[in-house]
Amino acid sequence: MSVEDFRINASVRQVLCRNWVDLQALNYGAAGRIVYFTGTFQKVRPPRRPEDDPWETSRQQTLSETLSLLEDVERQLRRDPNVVDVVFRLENFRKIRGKWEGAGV
Amino acid sequence: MKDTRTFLSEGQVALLRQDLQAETERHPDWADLQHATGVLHALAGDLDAAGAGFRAALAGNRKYADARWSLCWVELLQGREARPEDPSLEGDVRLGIVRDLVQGNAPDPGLRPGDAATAFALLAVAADRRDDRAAERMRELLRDLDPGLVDVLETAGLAKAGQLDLGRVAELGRPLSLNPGTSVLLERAARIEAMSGDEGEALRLFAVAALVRGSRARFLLHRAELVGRAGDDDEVLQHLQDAVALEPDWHAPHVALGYELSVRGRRDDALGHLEVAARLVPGYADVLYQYALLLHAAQRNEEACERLEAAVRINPGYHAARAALGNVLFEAGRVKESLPHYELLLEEGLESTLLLGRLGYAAHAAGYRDRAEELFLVAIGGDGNRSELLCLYGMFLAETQRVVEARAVWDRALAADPPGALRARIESLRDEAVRGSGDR
Repeated sequence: MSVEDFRINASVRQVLCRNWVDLQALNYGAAGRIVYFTGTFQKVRPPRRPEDDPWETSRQQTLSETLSLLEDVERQLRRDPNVVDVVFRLENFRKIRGKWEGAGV
Repeated sequence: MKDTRTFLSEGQVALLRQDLQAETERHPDWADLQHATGVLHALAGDLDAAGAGFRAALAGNRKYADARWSLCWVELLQGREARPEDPSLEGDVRLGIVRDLVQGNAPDPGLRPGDAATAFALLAVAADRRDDRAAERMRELLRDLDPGLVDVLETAGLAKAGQLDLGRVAELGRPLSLNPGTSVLLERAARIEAMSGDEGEALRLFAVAALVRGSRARFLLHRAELVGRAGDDDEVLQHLQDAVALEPDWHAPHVALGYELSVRGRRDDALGHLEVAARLVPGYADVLYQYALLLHAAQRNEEACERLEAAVRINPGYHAARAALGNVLFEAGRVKESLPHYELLLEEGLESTLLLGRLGYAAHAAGYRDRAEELFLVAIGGDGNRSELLCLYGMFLAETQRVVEARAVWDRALAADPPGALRARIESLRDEAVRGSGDR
């Protein structure tokens, strides 16, 4: 089972990289084909000039983009037949009744 | 100050400045952060703010040589006489060189062996002044000092412009050439460029970051990352093998190559690289965890346990390593030892119905039948159609003499369409239970 976990880690990393997830603040790893995520989930953000984009609009947009990305990444990971479950405990998002929400929003 | 801004776009600088400014407000005593913020202010052309950032870094750490050096740069660029407060730097050859260059005097390098960063800075300044002879001299010096770095420069120059543009690439690295910490910012900016679809620009920024670090292997790792996104697996493997060959004493290429090899089914080769990586950085929890997974796969369970125990000792919040430790202990028959690790995961809120099921079965195997029953009921209540969970629950029922219930649960598990190996296992368990109960 452990070699599968190692391969799952490689494939999770690939999914995260391809989706431009910022890996610096996110910890992940598989054990017994369950993938665990802890830390902060965020995207590598494209350049945006603060003066061109009101802060609140920018913040809301970032939140909404990151939420869709999180849902998408979770879907991609669960599609992997080797992965039996994906468990998250994120600083900035939480799942309430099956739906992702920004923590504190 | 145009030359100090060219290697990052204004948008990138604004974004990174905003990020770092917020961080420095949260951590005013963090000298590295103050230093990086100072660099970004310099890139944005605000030398006063940059100077303030470098002074703040020095206030946090009086012996911060890079911050002192950056402050000298800023003061020289502002036309002031730079005076490093630390007397040990007063006679530093690098300060004399830069002072000469900034003031327009002829360069006389007198470089220390291995000081490729200085040669790089000199090359940049020479290129900036359109002094072709000086630029050529610096290029030769750099080639002598570290041929690998010239190779990176050439690759980056070729990738960006379709031709060798050494002076241009060198110019871009000028303000950072003596600030290794800021290469992280460059790598982040490179990812932003790659995300926007400009791979040439991304490669160039990765190259400058690699130069700042003085590591060609680092450049190859990033190149592999970019190529991997495009899906060219053979080229990825080649870059990673080259990176390992270039810097065999750096753990990161070994880990990355281990991943690639395992995906190709070359488990033993992957194990060899992880073994090297773990030996190089015995205090890195992540490397120990990855190594342990392969040790376990090779049936070296005691060694796997030792590495995982070390990983969670180093980082008690490393949940994947803790879960793996629970699994390895459980499979090695050390069921009671596995329980606290599973319990801790649940306490931390990392709840999975399958994890609950595994914990339930572990509790049962350790003799805690009531706790096991409770855990299984919660797990099945959460997801009653998961075949692996139902398989475990059936085993628990059968082993507590409830064979009829076990059979019903296994039938449910089979109806949930499990993958081949699990299906065979459930069918075998069910047949065995049927034979044991004499019910044909």
